[in-house]
Amino acid sequence: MGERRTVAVGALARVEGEGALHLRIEGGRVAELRLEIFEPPRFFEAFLRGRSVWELPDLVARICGICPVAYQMSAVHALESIAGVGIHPGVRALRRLYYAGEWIESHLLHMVFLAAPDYLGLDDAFEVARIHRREVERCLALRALGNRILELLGGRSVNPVGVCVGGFTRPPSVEALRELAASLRARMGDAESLLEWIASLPVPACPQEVELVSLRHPEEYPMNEGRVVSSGGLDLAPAEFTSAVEESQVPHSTALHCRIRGRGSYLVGPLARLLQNRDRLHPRARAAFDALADRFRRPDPYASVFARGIEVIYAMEEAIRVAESLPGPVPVPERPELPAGVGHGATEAPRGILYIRVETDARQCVREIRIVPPTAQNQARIEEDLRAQAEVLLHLPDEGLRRRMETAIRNYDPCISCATHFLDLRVERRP
Amino acid sequence: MSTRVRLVGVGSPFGDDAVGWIVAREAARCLGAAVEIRLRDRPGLWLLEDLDCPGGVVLVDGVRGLGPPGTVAVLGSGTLPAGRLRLGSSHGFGVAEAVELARRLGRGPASLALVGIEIGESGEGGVRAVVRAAVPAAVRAVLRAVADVARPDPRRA
Repeated sequence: MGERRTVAVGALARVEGEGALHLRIEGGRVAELRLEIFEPPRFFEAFLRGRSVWELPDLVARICGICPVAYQMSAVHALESIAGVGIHPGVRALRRLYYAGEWIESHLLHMVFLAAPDYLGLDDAFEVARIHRREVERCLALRALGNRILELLGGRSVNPVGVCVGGFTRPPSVEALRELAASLRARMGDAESLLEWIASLPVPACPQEVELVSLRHPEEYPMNEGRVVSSGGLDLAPAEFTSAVEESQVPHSTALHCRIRGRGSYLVGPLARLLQNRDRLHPRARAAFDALADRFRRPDPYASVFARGIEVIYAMEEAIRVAESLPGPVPVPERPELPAGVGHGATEAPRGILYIRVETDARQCVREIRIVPPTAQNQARIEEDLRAQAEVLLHLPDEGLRRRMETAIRNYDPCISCATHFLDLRVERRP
Repeated sequence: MSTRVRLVGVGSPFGDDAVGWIVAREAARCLGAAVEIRLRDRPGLWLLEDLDCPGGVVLVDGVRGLGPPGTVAVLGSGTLPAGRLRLGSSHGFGVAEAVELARRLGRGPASLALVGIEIGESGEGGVRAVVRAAVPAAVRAVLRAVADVARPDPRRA
């Protein structure tokens, strides 16, 4: 164990974006570990300055092809907090339906296409499709429903455009919603079967001490609204988010690292959300959580894949509830007066809290905007997790260590594209 | 479900990549009701649904690797570079990956062709003249491909 070695993942597969991991081992200890994000900075915050606030929901949707809804929702909530407009209860319900569609699509993509190959010992989803065809078919059928939701509310599933301040530009008909609800009901069993399948795979366990951060709402499982709460005692309005969280730059990453001031790294995402809001689940999701309760006794990043499966079931239940209960058509909102001001929006993207602070001017243009995506928030936490795991896995040969490190990173479903994109792992061992 | 041939133009509004849409629209204008046209922007996994068509599918896309810009080629599903494909991230999930995944799931169309138009290193703005000059040849290739897909050669089955 006294050797020096370097393990490098030069191009990490099955993560969204481009990055690398550098691990230097000296004298049997991890001497250095860097999650290197070399995705070029995308400068969204800079080029949104001066744009009309009314363009904002469409522009921010372009930041990510997987979680456009999250960007749109955080942006409109920030703008609405400036306008001080009340939201029609139907719009509020439809926004939960819209978010449910994105959770379904994003979570299933990760569970079946990105993560499952790790737990099956397969190279990629082509192999999963060949061997586990039924599961992949289920995944695709459910994702098609998520897609349908995005099309209904966003006008199209890729870079949706139907969101505006106050609601939707073309709200769906009640008939279309009822038809959707019937399709969702018919596929509910598929969501449960997929979670059972994932739970049957040899997913590693690695419980850790970690501060969990998510939204918390008095009545609902959080999507669009709530206070920012943590397992370490944070309880903040979205407007206070940056008073507790600081962003900093590190030389090896074009994405910012986030820490809780005076404390350190923290975890956002489905695991944090679930562990802090399990009492807000609908019955079928709650039953799924109870069946896996042993995996959730202590925070374990590897249990995130189960949390995603439970949230898919929840999202299906919530989508059915909204699609079946909306009493009538939702009005298209009038464009409100928007004074110069500062607004804050924090909503639960599939990967965790997405915070947006926007400052507007008297011409109804964006003066300043700050966007804190979930992957940037998790980055410091991912490095600490990898360091802890590497310490106990140093006995593995480089290839084994490399695979395990890649699995651990993928487990967070990082969207490096959002945080700034792909991983390249280098392990360096020295005596 | 449609028994017509589905013509799927893959591209975007910008740069040479728009050529997939331009060719698909032109070909659909010639073919009328004989085809169902769909235009897609970076379809990724969603392309699997487009491939689910018993009447057969013709894909039109701006591509790289055929030769000089404007080169037109027709590829059958067996000639797409499946052996080199890896499903990295959803951002890297393209036409060839969708076709291969559909094949593994046994759900691709009975007959499929891809008409590719070489775009080379595409820039911003409109379609370059060298790529636009290939549109008539690409439209003719689509018309032949639609006829072949609609009446698959039993020797190739």
